[in-house]
Amino acid sequence: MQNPTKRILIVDDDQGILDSFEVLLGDRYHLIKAENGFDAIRILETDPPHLMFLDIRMPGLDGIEILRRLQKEEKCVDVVIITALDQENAEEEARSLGVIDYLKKPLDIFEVERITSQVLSSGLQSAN
Amino acid sequence: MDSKKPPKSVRLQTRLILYSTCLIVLIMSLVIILVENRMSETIQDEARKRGMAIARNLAAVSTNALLTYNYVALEQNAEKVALDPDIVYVIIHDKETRVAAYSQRDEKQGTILTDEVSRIAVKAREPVVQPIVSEEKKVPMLDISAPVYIKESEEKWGTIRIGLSLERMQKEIAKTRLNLFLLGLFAIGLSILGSILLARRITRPISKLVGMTIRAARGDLDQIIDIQTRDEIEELGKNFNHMIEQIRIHRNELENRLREITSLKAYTDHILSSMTNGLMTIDLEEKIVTLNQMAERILGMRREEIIGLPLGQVFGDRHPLYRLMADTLLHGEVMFHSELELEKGEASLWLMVSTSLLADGEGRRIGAMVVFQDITEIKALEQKLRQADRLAALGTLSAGLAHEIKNPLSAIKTFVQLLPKRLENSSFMEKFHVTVPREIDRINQLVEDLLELTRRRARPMVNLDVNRVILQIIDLHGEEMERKKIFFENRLDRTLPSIQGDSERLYRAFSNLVINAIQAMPNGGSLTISSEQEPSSSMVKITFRDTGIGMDEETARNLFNPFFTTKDKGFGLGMALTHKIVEDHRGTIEVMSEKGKGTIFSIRLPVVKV
Repeated sequence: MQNPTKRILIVDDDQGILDSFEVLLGDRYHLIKAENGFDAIRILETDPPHLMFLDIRMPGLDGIEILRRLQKEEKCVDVVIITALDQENAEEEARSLGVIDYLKKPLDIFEVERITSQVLSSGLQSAN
Repeated sequence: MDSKKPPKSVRLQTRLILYSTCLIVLIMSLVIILVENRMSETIQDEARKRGMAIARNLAAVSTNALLTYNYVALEQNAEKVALDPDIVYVIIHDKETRVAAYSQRDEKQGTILTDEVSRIAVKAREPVVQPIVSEEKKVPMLDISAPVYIKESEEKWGTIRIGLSLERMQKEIAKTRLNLFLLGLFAIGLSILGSILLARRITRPISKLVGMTIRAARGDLDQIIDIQTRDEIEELGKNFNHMIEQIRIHRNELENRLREITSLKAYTDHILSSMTNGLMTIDLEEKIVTLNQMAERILGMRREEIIGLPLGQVFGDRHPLYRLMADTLLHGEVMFHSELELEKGEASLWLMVSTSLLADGEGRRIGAMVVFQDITEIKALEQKLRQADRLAALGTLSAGLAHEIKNPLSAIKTFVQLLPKRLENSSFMEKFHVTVPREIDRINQLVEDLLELTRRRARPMVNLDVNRVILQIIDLHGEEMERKKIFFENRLDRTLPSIQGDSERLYRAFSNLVINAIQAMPNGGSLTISSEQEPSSSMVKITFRDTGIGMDEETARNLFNPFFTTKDKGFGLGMALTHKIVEDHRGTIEVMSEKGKGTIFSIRLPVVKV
């Protein structure tokens, strides 16, 4: 199960979320944390992850915008949305932009782990 | 024309003829009397002269006979003279006054006549004429006596007397008088005829004028009189024409004015009835003067029933509309777009009311006017909107709240879910003890903020130094700012007066602004905080200026709404709280922002009065 070569990017402006991902996945995967959209873009360009957990509502550059850029630049990254928003149109938009899943906060660790192992071990995993 | 009139009117023509006739008759009578008198005098004078001549003649031829007392010769002379038909008698008196000769009366010879006339005649030393009346024929006569003198002697030698009949003379006078009378009659007739013609000539144009005035009085002004008499009448006619012309012009002008006024009235009536607003006016006695159709419809009253009645009587003294109008009328209190609730059955009628004073052209108050609009439906809609607004605000608030709570909840859940498996993992437990209480505190803070935001009463205020509060905040965030390459520029006024406030709450308020500024400058920048006392008012002004990402207009406008979110950014309760705290300090907060350039928050707080 452990695969520190697999890089997971977590993008959220909430320190608590970043901390919880750290304890949940940090010891098994190479976890990269981004506090805002700009950092995320930079990381996506320089060091693309195998999986990205992405928050939608963030100052400056939000999750949907990041998804749009990814699609525009034809970058294949598996993205799971993690959001506290309860908006149907946001989910629809995100799904239309090709996200793997759409998780609502508060997150369930089993779900996060299931999706993570599923993505990183199966063929869904993107080529580097 | 009007025979019933007491002073009967006499036609001018008749009057003219009558007056001129009277005048002519008077003048002619005077002329006739004068001429007759003159002629009578002449005739009498002639008779007298003739008589005197005869007497003198006889005296001349009888002088010798008198000297010689030759009575025969004297008698002959007397008889010869008496042949004249006008001579009634010839008497010759001798020196001793005896009758020397008496024509056809021989028996008187030698006698002395004692009658008064004879005595005067005999005594007289000059010729004397005495009027007498003959006894027999009762004809008027003249007794003419002439004394006889011889040359160079004063002695009177006798008296010659002639009785001259005036009968013929009088007949002549009568004849002349008759002629004159006839002539006078003719002249009068002729004059009357002339005066009639003249009167007609004068009165015909006047009649014309009269006829015209009558027609003009009846309203026929389209006439022109044509009089050519070359005198005052013509002038009068011309003036009359001019006058009629003037009257016609005036009448036309008046008619035009009337037409204008009528059409203007119709126009205003039309405006009033087409107005979608109700309009009502009252006069100084508060009586209803105007009420348009919309007002009838809105108030549910009929114009005919309330026009002219006092407003207070129609609506009652306590009716809001009456009070409004009375205030406007009495105190000049003008209302603009104020809302008024009237009872209408069980429901309420909401009016948007504007009142104004009515003044005449010279600015004198003549009444008051009210214009109103039925806004009951708008009001109901507003109510619904407000409800919807409240719901939407509640939605935003709860969504924001959910978002803010779900993040820490998510973290806590993760840690708690991992706890059973990792109880032995000291590194995890370390993180657990840091993260879980922190996240729980966050939720608690959120709840505290929410309570703070909705708290009604503030804590007691104390005198405090704003600069100190700000510097404390900067101190706390100094390290973070340094890390994020944010430069702090201190422009705090050291002589700033103290203000009255709650330092803890102001700390929260300013903290939020500083945190906001730091968040707005992820790539560094500068934060300038200045404080100063505004010279024009007793306020302290504190400004937070950052060079961050700024925000658009909509964001800036909604910044102080709790949990307001845009696509980019969500604000928690921070800004709303800041706003609330500043307001609780009787201060104001303004935000100016330009996207990409930065944001300026200006806070004004009242200075403590010393």
